[in-house]
Amino acid sequence: MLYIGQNDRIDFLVILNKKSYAGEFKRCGMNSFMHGFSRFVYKFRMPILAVTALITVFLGYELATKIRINTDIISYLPDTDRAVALSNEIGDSFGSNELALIVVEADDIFNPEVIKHVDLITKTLKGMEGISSVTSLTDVMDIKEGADGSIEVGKLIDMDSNPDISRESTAKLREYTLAKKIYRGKVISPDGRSTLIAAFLAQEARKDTTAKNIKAAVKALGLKEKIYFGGTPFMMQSLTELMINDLIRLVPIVTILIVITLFLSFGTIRGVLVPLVSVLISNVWVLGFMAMCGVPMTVISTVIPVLLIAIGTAPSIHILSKFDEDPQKRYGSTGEESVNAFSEVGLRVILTSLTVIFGFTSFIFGSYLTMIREFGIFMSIGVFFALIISVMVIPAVLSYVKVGEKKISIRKGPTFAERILEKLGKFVISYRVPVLVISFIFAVVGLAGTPFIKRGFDMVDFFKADHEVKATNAAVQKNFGGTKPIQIVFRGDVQNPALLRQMRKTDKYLETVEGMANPQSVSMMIAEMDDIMEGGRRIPDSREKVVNLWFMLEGQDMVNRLVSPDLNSGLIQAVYGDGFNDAVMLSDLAAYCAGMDKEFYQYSRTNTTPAAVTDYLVAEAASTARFDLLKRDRKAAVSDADVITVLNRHMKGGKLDVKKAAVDIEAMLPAEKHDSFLVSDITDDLLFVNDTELYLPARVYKTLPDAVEDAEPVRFEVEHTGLPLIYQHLNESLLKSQVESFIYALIFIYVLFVIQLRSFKFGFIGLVPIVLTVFMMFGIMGFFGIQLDVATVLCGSIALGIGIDYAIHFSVRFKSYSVAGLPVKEAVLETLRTTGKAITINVTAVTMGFFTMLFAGLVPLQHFAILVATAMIVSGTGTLTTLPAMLLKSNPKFLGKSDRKKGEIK
Amino acid sequence: MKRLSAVVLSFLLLCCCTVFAAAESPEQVLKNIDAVVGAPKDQNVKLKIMLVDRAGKVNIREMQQYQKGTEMRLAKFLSPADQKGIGFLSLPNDVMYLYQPAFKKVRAIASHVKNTKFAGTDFTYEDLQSFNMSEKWKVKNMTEKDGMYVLELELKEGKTSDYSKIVITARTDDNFPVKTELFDRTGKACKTLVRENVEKIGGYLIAKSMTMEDLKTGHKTTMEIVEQKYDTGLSDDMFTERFLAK
Repeated sequence: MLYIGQNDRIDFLVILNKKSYAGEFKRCGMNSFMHGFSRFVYKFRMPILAVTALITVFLGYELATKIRINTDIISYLPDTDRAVALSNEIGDSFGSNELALIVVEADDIFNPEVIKHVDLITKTLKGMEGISSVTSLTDVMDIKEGADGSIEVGKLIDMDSNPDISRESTAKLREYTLAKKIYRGKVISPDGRSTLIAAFLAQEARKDTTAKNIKAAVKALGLKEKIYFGGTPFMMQSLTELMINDLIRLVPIVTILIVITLFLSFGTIRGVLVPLVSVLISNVWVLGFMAMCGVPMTVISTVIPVLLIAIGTAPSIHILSKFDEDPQKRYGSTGEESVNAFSEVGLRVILTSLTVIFGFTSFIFGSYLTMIREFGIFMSIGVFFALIISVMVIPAVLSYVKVGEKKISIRKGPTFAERILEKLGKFVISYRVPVLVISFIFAVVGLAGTPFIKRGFDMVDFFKADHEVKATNAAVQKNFGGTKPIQIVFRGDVQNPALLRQMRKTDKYLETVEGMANPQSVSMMIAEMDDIMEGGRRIPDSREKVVNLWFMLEGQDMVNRLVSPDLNSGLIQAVYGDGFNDAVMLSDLAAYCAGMDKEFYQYSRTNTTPAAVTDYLVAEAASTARFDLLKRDRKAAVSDADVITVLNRHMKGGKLDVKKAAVDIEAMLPAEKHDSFLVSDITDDLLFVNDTELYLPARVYKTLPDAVEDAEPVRFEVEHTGLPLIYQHLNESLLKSQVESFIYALIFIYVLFVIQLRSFKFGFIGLVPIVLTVFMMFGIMGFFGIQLDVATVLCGSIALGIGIDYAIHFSVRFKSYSVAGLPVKEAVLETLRTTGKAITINVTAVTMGFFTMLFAGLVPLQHFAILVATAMIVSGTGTLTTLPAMLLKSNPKFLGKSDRKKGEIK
Repeated sequence: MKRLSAVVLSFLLLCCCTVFAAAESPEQVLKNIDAVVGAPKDQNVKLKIMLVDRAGKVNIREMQQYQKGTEMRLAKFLSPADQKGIGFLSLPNDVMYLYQPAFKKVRAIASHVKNTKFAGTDFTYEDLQSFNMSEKWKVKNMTEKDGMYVLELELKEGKTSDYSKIVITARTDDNFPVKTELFDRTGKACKTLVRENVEKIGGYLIAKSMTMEDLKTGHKTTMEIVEQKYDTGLSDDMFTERFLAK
């Protein structure tokens, strides 16, 4: 990447320093090409600068006006991903798939003033762009039986009809609301001190912007209650802010580090400004190009500017160091040496550039995730831009600059670094076998840590422990279960009792799952209404009854959110908390959905009903009732068979004594686990056992002697999605990305290595240190609990792409010494003294660049920084120890004879 | 001379009447509008209800509606098949009943659910009852332009509504309201009611099509009169729980 750019820039600098630009290149091979190219640049320097200025202004404008930040996690996966496709389908069919949660905390929520404030927030939110509906204490559907036997489907608290609520009325309301399980822990906390306002975002709404507007609008109300904002939209908004902050803070820090490094290396203001301006221009180009293409910045592409700046310094140091090796060559009396130097590095520059570009393109081919593919594409483009700027624009600029001779102090004797490196070389020569054994042990240990790498993707992990988002999530989770939506879609006739019963049972199942809370579905509302009509919260036995009840629910916001307009799909919406085992929950949920009966037949019971029917009814009632027990006590040692035994005890003449059975089932739990709802919940589960009109699953119905052959079945499908599943898909694709992009990068780099060194074996040896480094890095991740996430997944390939450069420099230099006839040991020592020094400075500079990211607000970027910086140190050390040890152990005859003949030490 | 005086006097009287007519008070205009809309003594109409969602998908229902005056209404669904027989009775003083044939039960509907949508339409119970505007609303401002009155209504003291403001556009020649814009409590326009295909039937101005659009959701409900009879002398007995359950 900028290696190339800066290598070239420095070569041109040197050439220009000698005023030898106008053409003293050897007119053969690569040199001839470089010569021709340089003449071209010199001839067209004015148009080149004009075009560059125009492009910079144009792309700068694009950047300033069109750049977007996308923190919508769902969009990071391709639309074809099943979890994403279903989530989008839910957004289309039910109006929303995203939830913004606002929690209001007060000493007593039922204080009339607090209720008025809750209503004020509700109405403010309802009037806002991007919000499709709102549920709150003052805007939640309530179904109840009036004193005169009337059925009331209205609002729990109707502030429009009764704006002047009194203390007395709220006291009654408090009692009523807290006693109703559809509100307790869902809209109001059990202690009555906090209430949840849920804003459903419109499908087309920009989530982070809407979240920002919600916060601003609620804060502008100036209410005295404590208000928390939770849920993905608010997290996305915080993430956007963090990303902007990181960019604003990190770019200057990296720039300062670069300035220091460049100044220490070049010792001139021009030497600092020229490379710096060029990396800044390449940043403007690549970010402007992203904006022009309509590609938004993601959590990952935030790294691009920092990365472009940080790794650009390393090659400058490398090249300067090379010229420092023999200052007389650099500033000698003729321009020939400079030209030779340029020719010598020319091919290396291009190959190194290709190495890095291929390193980043591995993300394009290796990734399922849109954001990582985009990162690969634009990082490669960034490198390409930097190359163009370095080889064309910078020489064009410098050709106008009046260059003075630089005073050179010729150092006598080795420097401190050279002495250390020489000692290191002698150590490696003496102890090459132990060095190799130790390297091998490190690699094995690293590999051993790989299985322990945690794969995690949860947006909440992006934030530091003290970030407001974490406190908010904890507050929401404490009283209302969690912030991550879980959605289960039932596709079929949602007014059919068979479907509604399975939906109701699934609601109950979800309540038994650790971390899951607040399941809502239309089946719950139908059951509430049927309680008033027939007694018992249950699904009626006929579709006609359901339709009759439905008549009163039609048009209610809550129903529109849970049922598609064509009544062909229904939704269970629940929330899931942080800190639970998502993988277990998801696999259990998938198994539950897969195991559910989804084909039913209508069946009318008679006096001669086969035992199989009763057995099914009892088993179904037992498994549902068991969910009620497990909800109260997840560890209850009660099996379906235990409950079936109790039910069978209370079956008399095909009829179940529901009340007695419910009491006995309750008794299966210890008394301290009982609550006031338990018996009635169990009773509701058992009522359908005595129905005459039944819906039997195909597996039962088809075994019956009186089954009608061509009976029309009721069929439906069940599928689940939600944030945890989307996170899981991201996790899986992250691992796939890591492995695939690593393999691609390895192949590309090996091929280029072989081309450069003209030896398959040397190519393999050259790869060894970097592969060891990557193994080590995996080990560090495994043993130190750094999880594989959106940012750390890039480390392997980036480390490979950048770190391989050390191996190239070392190997090429070693080869040139060898072909010139130096014995292997001396060639190693000489390479360490020269290129080794450059590598040491290089490692220091790159590591400093990456450590900058330790100041990032985003946690994955901090991990990314630690890992890459560590990898660079390990890779540098490996190149200076393991690589020479391998060269010493291997047969140096692999160097071609022709090379030996024409070789010379460079 | 006397004849001349009489002519002059008649002319002056005519002028006065014209001036008086032209300066009809806004409150009177609102009452006139109410009178036009609630003119039939009773009505027996078959309505085709079309629910149109934002995507343009249409859901059709049919309903037979009996109405006496402006305060007694009984509606029975004819289709779709699974809703057939569901009945709704609305009586003075916000008394409402629902008949659910599958349960064979008549249930009272609580009066305070008036802001609830009626059977999935964009009409709330309040919208269906609000043909007598002047009872609840007073005119804040009235303008006249291009043959139309534009009346901005605000709620009378002590009255409650789901709306903060209503703007009615009515024809000046016959006081027929062609458009009603409804504003929510934040002051934003939330729904629009348009009366179209206005015909004079049996001496009454009748809009054969009424469309209520929810501006936020883009959902629309059109009620179209398919069959109609006016002033047939509907008995009060029709507006009872017993008749509802028939």
